[in-house]
Amino acid sequence: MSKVKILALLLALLLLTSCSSGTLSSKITADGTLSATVAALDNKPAEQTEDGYLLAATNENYSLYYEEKGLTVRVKNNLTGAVTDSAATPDESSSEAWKNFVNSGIVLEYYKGTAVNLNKINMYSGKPDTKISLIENGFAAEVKFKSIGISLTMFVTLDNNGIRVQVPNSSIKEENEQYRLAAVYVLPFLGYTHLGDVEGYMLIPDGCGALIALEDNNQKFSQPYKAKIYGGNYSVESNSYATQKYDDTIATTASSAGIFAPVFGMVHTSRQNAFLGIIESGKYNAEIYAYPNGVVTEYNWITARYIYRETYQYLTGQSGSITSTQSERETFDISVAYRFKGGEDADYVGLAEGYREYLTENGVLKADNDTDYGMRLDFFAGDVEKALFGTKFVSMTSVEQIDEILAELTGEGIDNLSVSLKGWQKGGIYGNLTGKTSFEGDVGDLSDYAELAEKYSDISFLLYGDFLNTYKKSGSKDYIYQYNGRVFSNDTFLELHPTKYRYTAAAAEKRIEALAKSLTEKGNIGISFDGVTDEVYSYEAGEKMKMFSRQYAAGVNSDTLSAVGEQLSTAYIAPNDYLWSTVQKYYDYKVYGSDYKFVTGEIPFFAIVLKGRIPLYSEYINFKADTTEYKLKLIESGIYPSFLLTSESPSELIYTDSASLFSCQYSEYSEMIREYNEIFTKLYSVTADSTISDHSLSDGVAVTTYENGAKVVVNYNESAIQYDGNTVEGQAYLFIGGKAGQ
Amino acid sequence: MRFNKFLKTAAVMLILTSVLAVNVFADTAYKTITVDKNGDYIETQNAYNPVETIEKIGDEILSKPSDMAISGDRLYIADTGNHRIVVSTLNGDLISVIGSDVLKEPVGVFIAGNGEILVADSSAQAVFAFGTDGTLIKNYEKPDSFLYGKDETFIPLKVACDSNDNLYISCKGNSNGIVQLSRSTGEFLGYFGANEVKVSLWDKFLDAIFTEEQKSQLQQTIPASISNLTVDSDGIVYTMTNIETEQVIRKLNMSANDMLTTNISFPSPSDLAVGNIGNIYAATSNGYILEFNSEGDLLFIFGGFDDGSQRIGLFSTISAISVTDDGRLYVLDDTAGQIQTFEPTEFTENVHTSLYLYQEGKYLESKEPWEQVLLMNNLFDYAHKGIAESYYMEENYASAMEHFELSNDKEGVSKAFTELRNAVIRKNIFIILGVAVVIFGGAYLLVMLSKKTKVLAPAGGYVRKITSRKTVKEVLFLFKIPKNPMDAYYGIKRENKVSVLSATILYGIFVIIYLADKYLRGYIFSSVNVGQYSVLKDAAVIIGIFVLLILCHYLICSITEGEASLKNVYCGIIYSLMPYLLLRPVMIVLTHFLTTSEVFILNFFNVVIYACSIALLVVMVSELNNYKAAETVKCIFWTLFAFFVAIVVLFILYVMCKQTAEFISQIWSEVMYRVQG
Repeated sequence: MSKVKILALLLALLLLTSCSSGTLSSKITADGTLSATVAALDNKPAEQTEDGYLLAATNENYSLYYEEKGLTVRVKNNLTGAVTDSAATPDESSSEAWKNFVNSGIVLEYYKGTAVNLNKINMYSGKPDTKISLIENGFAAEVKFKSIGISLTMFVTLDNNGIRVQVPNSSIKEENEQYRLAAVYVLPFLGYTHLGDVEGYMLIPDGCGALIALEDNNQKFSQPYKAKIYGGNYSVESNSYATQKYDDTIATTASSAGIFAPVFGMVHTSRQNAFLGIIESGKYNAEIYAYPNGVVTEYNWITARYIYRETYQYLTGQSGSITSTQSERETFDISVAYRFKGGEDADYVGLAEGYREYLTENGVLKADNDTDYGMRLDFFAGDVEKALFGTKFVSMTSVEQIDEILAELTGEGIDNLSVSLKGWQKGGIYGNLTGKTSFEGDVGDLSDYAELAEKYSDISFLLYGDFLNTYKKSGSKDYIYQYNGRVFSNDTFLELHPTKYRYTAAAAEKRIEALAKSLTEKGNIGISFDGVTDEVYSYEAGEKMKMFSRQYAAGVNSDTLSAVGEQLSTAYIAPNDYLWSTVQKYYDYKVYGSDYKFVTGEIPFFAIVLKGRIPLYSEYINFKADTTEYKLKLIESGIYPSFLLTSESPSELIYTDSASLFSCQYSEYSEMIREYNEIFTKLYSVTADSTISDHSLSDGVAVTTYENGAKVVVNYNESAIQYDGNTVEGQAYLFIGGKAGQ
Repeated sequence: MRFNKFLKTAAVMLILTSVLAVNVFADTAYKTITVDKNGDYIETQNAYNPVETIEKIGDEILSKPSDMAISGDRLYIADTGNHRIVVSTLNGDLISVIGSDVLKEPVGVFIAGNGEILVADSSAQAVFAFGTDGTLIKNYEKPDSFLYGKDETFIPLKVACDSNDNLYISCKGNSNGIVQLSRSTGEFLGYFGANEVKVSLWDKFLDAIFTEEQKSQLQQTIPASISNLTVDSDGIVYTMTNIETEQVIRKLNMSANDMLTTNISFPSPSDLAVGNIGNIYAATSNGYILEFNSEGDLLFIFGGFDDGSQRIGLFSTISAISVTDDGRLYVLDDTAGQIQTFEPTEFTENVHTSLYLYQEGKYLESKEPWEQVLLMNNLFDYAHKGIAESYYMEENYASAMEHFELSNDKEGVSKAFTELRNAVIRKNIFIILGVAVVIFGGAYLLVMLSKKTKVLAPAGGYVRKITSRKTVKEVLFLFKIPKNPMDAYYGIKRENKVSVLSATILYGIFVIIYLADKYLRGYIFSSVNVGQYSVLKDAAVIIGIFVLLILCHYLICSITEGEASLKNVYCGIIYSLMPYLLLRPVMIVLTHFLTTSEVFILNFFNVVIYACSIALLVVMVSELNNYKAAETVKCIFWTLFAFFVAIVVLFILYVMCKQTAEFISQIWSEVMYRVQG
């Protein structure tokens, strides 16, 4: 049933894409995938440049050229004359694998025989048979690497926003059993620059958005930026759960911010030329590569790598394992749209706006969403500790206590609240979610909670649920199995819940639907979703252990959540981009990146995209060591504040697995809640539901400009600064213009 | 005086931070950990945030830099690969380069109080002293004193000095300790602070039985050499030892005694530094940074190894760490040739302020800053300890006890409990006395009355009725043991005074008492932390021990022609443990009322229980089997021997089964893999 739904949705989406953003090169077949049929035109290229590029298509804004040998392209901005190339001069000194990587439009990686090392083949080393045909708005290239028996067809087409590159899955043929396709790069060097020759930066979708400056690095970096979109697909990939441990009892690496939207960008500031790559299809199997100069080559380049096969560990005992490669190829089409921006718009703000336009055109972002200011208060009900026999629930906040707290806050007029109850289920926060609505003993029960919702009708009430992660395994049906046949699990370093398992998307759906059904009967309680919103894995299930793809799992999650959202109010915690079309409240928006050494600046890229379209709420303010700086970051991007609260002292949690919640007692935070409410009410009165139209950050002063003209100036320095005749104190902010004055 | 200095540096820091541009906003790549009250690692909010990465000093690139020193607003780097000392500002702007002409392999650098730059050069086998302008003033080579040791090499690794003319040099492979020279004359003053040698029982045993020749073949037990050192402004010497030892860092006073109250131990130490409130910073070669308070208690661990993720705050290797007066950390990554600076967070500033006041004994003043710390982290162990002390000073003993308990400070709880108990006694002394008089008086009267009037006859009859039941009588036979053990065992053996049932009941009671002793003691005397319960396992272990012991003993008895039957052994053992069964419950109750100063009472009980039980067991073995003294000793010895052998055999069996199972499953999964293809 749900599979049909997904396909329908996919089809609709693709149709929509085709309608809204120019003609698709490759027709969509009945099952929603791209067709590999080349509808060649009889024309010959009308124009050839001096350096051998042939004109494939042109329109008002751009011209698309190609070069036959390396299958690279050139995009010319007809308005500004700026040129973007995808072929660099090969460096004779570099290794065979890299030499012609830089001027090949298609590079494949493959496994040979049972070996698990990757081999690269490109347009020069592979000497493929290439047949290029002009098609409507572009060209198609059928490429046959005869030496390894792999062939595919790449479609490149032009539209008013830039180009789109596609490789239909149905065009990929593997004819020699000895050689199995591992990964594909398309136009990897599009927009490359050499050392510090061109001023500008690469945009990586790490956390809030991060920039890597295009400057000569003097070889100081040895590793590129490599990150899988939506994190690792650990149900297939070998055991690469990278955690540093100080000793066996504690992990010390904080996980990186990760990629939740499939975009990457290149900005040549000095040439006033920029593009944003948006991966439309293949994103579930792609990773973003950004190579600053000095890593392997002298070029700066950014691209996506599409993965068709992974290596995995087949475990043969406690210690033994065989490394092997996936036998079946992942099936997906590659489709990536490059949106170009020129002139004044050639910066990260322009790219963010381009992405916002793209999402709006595709119906993901809607202008009429409710993005009113609100404050998120999550109440922590409790966790279990070990008792003489079995475990004992440590109650931290009961429904009654929430009532007292809300009475106090609403009494002072603080009622723009969104309340979630966390750890309400049997067994507390780490307890299994079964779909039942029975609360853990001392907390109260659902009807008490529903009564609260009736009493405070302005406040939205949610139940928190992580429907992906579970800490107790019973039976075997509902859990994700890894490709090697083992249950997907990892150490949590928690005493009472030492192992974490994952529910399959189908198992999560079952539980979510059951809970949603009971809540719909109650009427006014919603759900805040965790786990299924920010992690997605492919999984094996059924009697024959059939493999369901990551794309399938994401589709099931997306459908389930959107169906719940039609009945109940919902909030998504750190949702991936495929959930944005149904987000009512976006929780845990990250205002930071992962602090990579090569990153030269972190910018509120996604806030510029989403602010004014989706209400964004922060991570918990309680646990930040520098609350002042974090507050300023939230003000800079217009992110609404969030707190995790308990009624009892967190020292009660010392023997539970929640001992890391070291500071959350309401009585300690009531002052701060008032302060934040005042600041953000004022901020909202200035910005209203506007989107962000400009942003700048220099010398520790950030200026965010909104569509309605409002300006938010944030001074991160210790000393006061002057802005437009106004003094902004050190570590303070200033709201200008907009609807209200200052 | 010192506090003024602290305030001053705090003020300087405020100015400094306002000057430096704020350039990094990010969630750090690492988590910060601290210890909870049970000594387990636990996550806390960031203690330090990375601020700046210094990749080059001016235009100078560092090559394998191995040490660093900070003095005032200057940074001195031992640029080992380039054979020089690089001097820069704290922001990494080049000031000067020193010693290019004389230095071969500078591996240690230290700045004396008068600004002299001391450099340890391991290839030149000398320590050089440069003036502030970079001119060579003096060099110190291998001392020619015979006290130094003729065969001992002089390969300086690190150097430091105090304000009293003492120069301290740690030398590679020199196990005699730190080489102490006179700074003015270069004269060898002696070795200082050698590590202690741990002589194990086994070593002593070998020493006793081996000939001189055999001993010379043994690996010599020499103390580990000191790999790193530093000296603080008070002239206290801190040493670091680079091998697995219980005392990686030592804090030595003038007479070379370790002043740390807690042993500091962690893997792969590389460098250390001392902050202005005596807190000790250490770095490990695998990228971690640790901070301890002045007594050696762990405050924070952060950083970590960069496995290629290229995130700020992680390191390939750390060769040196330094701290400025305002608490900013400079960490030198020698593989990358870069310096990463860290700044304490709001939270850590609060911890430092409170720790300073606390260490100075200003408990009352420290209360407010500790409260700030608790506000930010309610589970921060030292804050509870600190605030407990201030409550104690305020004579708010109930709150003090609560916070002592939250920091698991048993001494503290005992201290506060004594006061509370005294107060209760003082307040209610008349009531207590009154109740005692009523109880004892009443009892006396009752006894007197019953003798005369038989008022208690019905009750007595009831008691007699119960005690005359067979099983009850058998259980109560326990009380006959102390009167005349020999008769009692005779009764067990020949007269069926006890039964298997009664013994089983007693075994059951024993297990219950054993568990109660473990889990129901008063907090002060409890050795079990809340949450560390393993009731069923404990019960299984104690029952297992009994079963094995009984079997082994019976086995030995039967092959050494003892007369005891299995039933005799079964009953005899538990009846011999009578002292435990009777006295241990009393002890458990007492632990709720006693404090650590009255621990002797419990010790006395223990002596009685163990001595009497052992005596009774010996008598039991002898009586039940009709053994003479020598036979008894022999039987006991063989029983214990059999017991240990049985345990070893069981263990080997367990391991073998596990291995076999693993082997089979491995073959199975490999077959499955090949089949599936």
